[in-house]
Amino acid sequence: MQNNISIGQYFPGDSFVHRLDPRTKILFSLLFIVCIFLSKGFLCFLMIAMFAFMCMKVSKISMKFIIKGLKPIMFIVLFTFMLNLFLSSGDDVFVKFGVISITFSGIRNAVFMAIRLILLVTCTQLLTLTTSPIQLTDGIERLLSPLKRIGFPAHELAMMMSIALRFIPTLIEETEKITKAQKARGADFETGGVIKRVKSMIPLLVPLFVGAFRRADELAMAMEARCYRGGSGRTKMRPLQYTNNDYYSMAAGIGLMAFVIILNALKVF
Amino acid sequence: MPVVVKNLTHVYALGTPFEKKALDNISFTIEDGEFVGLIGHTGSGKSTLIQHINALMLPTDGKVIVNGIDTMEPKSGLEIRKSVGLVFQYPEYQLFEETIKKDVAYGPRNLGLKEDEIERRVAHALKTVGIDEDLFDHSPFDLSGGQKRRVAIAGVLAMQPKILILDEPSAGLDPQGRADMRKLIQNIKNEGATVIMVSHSMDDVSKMCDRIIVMNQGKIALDAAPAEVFKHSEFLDSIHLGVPAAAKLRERLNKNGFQISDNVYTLDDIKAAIIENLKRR
Repeated sequence: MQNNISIGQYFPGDSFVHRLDPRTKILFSLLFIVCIFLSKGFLCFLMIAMFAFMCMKVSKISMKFIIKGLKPIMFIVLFTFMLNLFLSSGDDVFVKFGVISITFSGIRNAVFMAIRLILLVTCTQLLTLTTSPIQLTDGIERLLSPLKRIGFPAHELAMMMSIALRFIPTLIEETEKITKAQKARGADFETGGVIKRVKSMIPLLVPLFVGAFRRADELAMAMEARCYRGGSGRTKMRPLQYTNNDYYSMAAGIGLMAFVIILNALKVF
Repeated sequence: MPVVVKNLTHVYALGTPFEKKALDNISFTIEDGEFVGLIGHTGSGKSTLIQHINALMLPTDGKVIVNGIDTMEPKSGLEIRKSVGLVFQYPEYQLFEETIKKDVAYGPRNLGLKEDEIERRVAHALKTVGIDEDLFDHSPFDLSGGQKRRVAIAGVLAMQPKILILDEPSAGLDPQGRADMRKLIQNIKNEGATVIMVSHSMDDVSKMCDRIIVMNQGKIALDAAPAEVFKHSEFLDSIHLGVPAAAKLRERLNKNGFQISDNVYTLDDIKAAIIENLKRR
């Protein structure tokens, strides 16, 4: 079951990208996303795609992983593609079946949106594939920490995120275990109508929730026993530190954005 | 209702880089009414093996035949689970109903039995595990840990399996709880069921089983009566299992001039043997 979920998965490694400060990578991903939304033409997409491909090569992540992560969103991509293909208005009709007509601008829009979605997911995937969940939450905490002054719970948010991420595999494992246990008692999760199937989930969901609350309780107790008292004054085992590599990468990211803006301004598509 | 396992191999995540051979060409037969202890270190393949007997897992290679039904046959799962009851480790975490009675009735209800038969089986199963009748309508979540576990076991017993598999039934219980659990399992055995008990406590297994299967790294290392198995104390030590405390004591006493037979491996027996030896001096 765990192998099916590759979106948001971390791929351990020791590459240039892996070693970058998580803050750099988060900001870089944001830049990527901004660039993708700013782009008005395929040339910009080509640049961004090449950039993403380079990042992938440098971080030594195989194409297979990226493609695996794209699978779950393929339906959405296809859906928007169809929507754009058939519902775009325009005079440059390509083919016409009765009331439905496909225009050239419709085709262009459909392809454009599909590429945009794929690029978006690929870029965010690069972030999660190269950054461990702990680093990621650390980075988010630091990036949000200026907001602490106006009362924003940056540390608490980061802590909740890392705990939630930490317990995803545990929950999956627990689900598998309880499914098996109830199957051993003759439970049938596969056949029957919708209502019967939903009902058959009760023996699974109740123990799962009870277990989740129990674990939350135990964890809270264990944290208190170790004198956890929130973020104020708390030091880190590995404090985040920008290196020259981070500055170079940020410069490259800003360069990419400048390039996209210039292309847009020159109306070179 | 024998259990026949023939050249069973199971590989996890076949065809991926995470491939792991959990069971490697295992063969054995368990006859009716046997009480088998399945023992092995963590990761030796015990849990994988018992799930095969219950058709929850299917072989990568080889065969598992329960009561003449091959687990690989399509739709054989439910049929096999009717006669093979499997109690997982920490079964108390699978309770879900509002009342104890309803929870125990879940299994029999899945079998499609009539209401009065379900009622009868539930009462009998709960009596077997020693839950008082005035608790029947309480929530299972109000019980103590040991009681919850007994209710969960009743949930499987109520299906009246011919073969009962228990995975570490006394894990995490206090000494009194362990003793109660042992008595409970002995009672189930006396009702005529075949029992397979997974454990890594040699002491528990030595007191109860007629036969012990020792697993190591996905293979059967030893398969014999307890007395025979405990003769291989050096081998058992080498796979981090050890022998029961009494067998260890016997070995040391014998090195120092006592003569106690190899068949002695329980505390009661060794007590008698020591007195016997001392009398002779």
